[in-house]
Amino acid sequence: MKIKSIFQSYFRGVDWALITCVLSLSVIGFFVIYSATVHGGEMAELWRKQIFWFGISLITMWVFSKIDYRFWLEASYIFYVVSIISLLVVLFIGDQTNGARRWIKLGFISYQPSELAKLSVLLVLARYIGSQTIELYFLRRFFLLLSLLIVPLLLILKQPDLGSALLLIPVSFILMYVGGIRVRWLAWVGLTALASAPLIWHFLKDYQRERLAVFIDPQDDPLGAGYNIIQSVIAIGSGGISGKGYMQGTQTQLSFIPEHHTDFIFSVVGEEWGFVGCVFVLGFYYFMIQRIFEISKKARDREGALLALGIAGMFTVQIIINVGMTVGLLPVTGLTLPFISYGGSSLMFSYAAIGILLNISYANRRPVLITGKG
Amino acid sequence: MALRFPRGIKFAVSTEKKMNVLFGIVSLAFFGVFLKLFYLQILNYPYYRGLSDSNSLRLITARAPRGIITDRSGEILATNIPSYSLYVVPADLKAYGPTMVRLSQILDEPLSSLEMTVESRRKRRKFEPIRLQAHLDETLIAQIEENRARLPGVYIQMEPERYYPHGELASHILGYIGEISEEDLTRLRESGYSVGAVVGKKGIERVYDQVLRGEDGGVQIEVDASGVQKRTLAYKKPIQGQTLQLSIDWKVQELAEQMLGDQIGSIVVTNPQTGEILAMVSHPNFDPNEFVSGISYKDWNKLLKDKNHPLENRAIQGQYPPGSIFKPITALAALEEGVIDLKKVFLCKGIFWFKTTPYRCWRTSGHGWVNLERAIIESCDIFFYQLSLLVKVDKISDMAKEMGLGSKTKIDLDSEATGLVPSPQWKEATQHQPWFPGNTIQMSFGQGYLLTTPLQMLDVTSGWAMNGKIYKPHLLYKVVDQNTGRAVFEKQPEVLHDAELDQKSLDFIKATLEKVVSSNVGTGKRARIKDIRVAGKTGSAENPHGADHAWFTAYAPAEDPKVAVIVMVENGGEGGVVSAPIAKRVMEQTLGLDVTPWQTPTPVVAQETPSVQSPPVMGVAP
Repeated sequence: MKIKSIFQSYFRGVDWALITCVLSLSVIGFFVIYSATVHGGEMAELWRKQIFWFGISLITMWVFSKIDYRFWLEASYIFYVVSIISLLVVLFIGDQTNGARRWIKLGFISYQPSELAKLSVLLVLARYIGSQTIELYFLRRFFLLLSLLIVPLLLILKQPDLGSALLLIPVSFILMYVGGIRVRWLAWVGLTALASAPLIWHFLKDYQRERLAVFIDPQDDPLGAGYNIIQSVIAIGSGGISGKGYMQGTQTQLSFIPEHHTDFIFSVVGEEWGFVGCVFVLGFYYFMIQRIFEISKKARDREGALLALGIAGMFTVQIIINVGMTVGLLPVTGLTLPFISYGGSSLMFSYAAIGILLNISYANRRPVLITGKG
Repeated sequence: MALRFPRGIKFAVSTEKKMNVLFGIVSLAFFGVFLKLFYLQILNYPYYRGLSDSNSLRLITARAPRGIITDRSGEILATNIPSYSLYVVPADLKAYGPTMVRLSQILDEPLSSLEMTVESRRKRRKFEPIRLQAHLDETLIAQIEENRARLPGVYIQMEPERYYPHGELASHILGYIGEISEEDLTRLRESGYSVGAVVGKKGIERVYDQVLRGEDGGVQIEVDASGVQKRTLAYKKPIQGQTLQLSIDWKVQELAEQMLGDQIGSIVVTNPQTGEILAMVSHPNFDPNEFVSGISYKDWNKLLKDKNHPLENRAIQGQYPPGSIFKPITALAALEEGVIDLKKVFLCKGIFWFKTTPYRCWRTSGHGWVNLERAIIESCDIFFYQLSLLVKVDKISDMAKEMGLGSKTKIDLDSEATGLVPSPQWKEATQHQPWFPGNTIQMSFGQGYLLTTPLQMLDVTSGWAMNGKIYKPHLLYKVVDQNTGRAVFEKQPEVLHDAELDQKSLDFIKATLEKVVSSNVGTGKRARIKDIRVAGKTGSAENPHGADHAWFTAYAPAEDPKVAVIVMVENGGEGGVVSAPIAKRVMEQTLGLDVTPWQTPTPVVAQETPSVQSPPVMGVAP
């Protein structure tokens, strides 16, 4: 049974629970995207594309799980510099859509620098905080950390990409908090940021101000952004306990909800699969986050632990903000639902992150493999 | 524990505890979402189910009025008037058959055509209102209101409709509007345009559509099971687009249009010191009001098939040989290259033999011995034939290109033509023939392959007037905020070309152009204005479509140019006779002088026509 033992040793140490979670969510995603788009004329083929991207993403995950996560941390400063440069570049020559410059076209692929920036800030912070201990007790180290965050943050806000900025801030604070920065300092920074909110308001584009205003009172713009929220809430509410049934959601099928295959995909879940479906999906997410926390706790070194924790934070913020938006708890920010929403590059980034997590957890268990019965 | 800190340092909270605190926060957030879902899907299920089952929310858009377009003084050129339209919501047509029959009786329209309109959209967008008829008159509105109870799913809505109070005036500048095309939709979808949107298709309406369009509003209403409105849930006021103030002066525009009358051609007036267009005429023109509520297929075809192309803006789309108004460019090129000086004379005997080809001067008896000055004033052709044999053709091409010919003027209008400045390389590449000296001869006096738009030649004239500086021509003057009445944008002059010309040669050309008008033997004497120094040049461009195109270009006052004008009458005959008197009156109006009463031009006696055996002129606009 040589093949079997090779097979076993190859897959030993793999976090099957985590993989099961994300694969289930992706499969749920195919079904929901199919339901949301198959009658949508030109969008009818999107679910095929999503399956294609899923294949690419699985390969990406496998490759990333084979790369020692230390590599990403070692190279983190290079990534950081590259992402700052590309953020600057996109401000000048990026493709403009909806008044925002976010994309750089490289031949036939478009690349969104804010996507890379999020990961590189996460890596740099994990690297810096992870490699220092007592030094973090110095105020100047804290300021250095803050400036590492603020430079890309301002560039992202300038684009503007509110969603990415909203992801970066809590994730950075989580890392600083766990890394040992005094809570008091973090609180001060938080308060200062709140006090300077009017200044940030000044930076926002009209459509973003509109979104915030609409969140406070959806009736303010019942035809634009408020319309989406109202329709999404009606869709979810009308799903009831067990939902209207797959492909039976009237709100969804009649295109009441715009962007229901990307930003508002959770309202399709709510309408067609009801409370049970929603809790099921949220359960998968919750379990997934819990697994990542475990990986973080058991990581071999501080940097790996912080990296895993940062990824957990990123997923959590994205899930909560997106679902919160569709149920009318939070403003519309344009963040998608990881693993479920339609979109190739965000799916790939998510699976790449899972690949890194697998490597962290794998590295942690490697000694067991070596000293095992073999 | 991997996250343990070095010994000896005490922390208030251990790392593990911090992680637990964080996970607690995560759990709380998930629980919050869970509670909201419970509230929506369990506690309030009946309410939302009711809303979604009856599909009782309707969205009726209120179209935003387009921004107003005025001339520089504020005279309104495009505005909006209220119009009533009949809409049906397919999903609410409960008694589909009877309702449609009733509607067809009231509207006096065949049932089949109404049904066709509705059927085409019934399946896909059941809840989107469909416009069945625009321009309801009062009796129709009254009839529909009377029958309201028997017409569920039928709405009347007031909508702003585009109106051009001056009709055909400046129609090529203003352009026209229409329903968005598939092609424009893919191009503009990201800027918030949707199916059925009304957009500018041509002219200013197209170029500044995003400024003019405003923002649609609408009402969200709740209807009962039979499609009757129960209550208004929300209302959003439509926002009118911003007001565009154009640089044109409607009085100059009107006079220029009158002057051109029924003749086919174009007139453009500009301020050479800023590039502001004061008038732009192209005839024949059209009435943009015809396009507002969708032009009928028949009328559209008539406009398209008209051999005089009324939809074409000749000022920027018509490509013509410029004829003799090109001569100063050849002269500048020759002076710059130094092949002649001002004293150099050539003999004009009325005919010039180049090898075996005869080239004639418009004055068959000949001009005798002429120098450059006389050759321009009296527009002697044979002088230029002989001159062209001395100048390198590339020199002439370069000079023409430096003055902006062969490239777009970048005016703020769509579909501008580029024109053509030929060169030996161009001819090799496109005609697969070498460049012959005869080609240079033709080019030297603005014939042959050379093609220009009237606006390009006006730019050239402005360039002479402004010592080589050519300002980018533009029609936008100001953008005015609809609510505050304050200008939110003011167009600043922009230099388009800064041609490096030898000032001495240019001064000579400018003085000579003045003599074209002031001298009694000058071809442009009919453009003379009392007490004002006018500089100009006539042209009569030979073309394969009939009589010559009559050109005249001028600027005034010569010492401090305030106005530059170009007149081009297709197949009009002699430029000095047909076009110069028009230019004179347009300049008088622009400069605020009394306009000389119009007299029918004296019949053409002498033909200022170079009778050249030239190859057919290619690409000349009809």
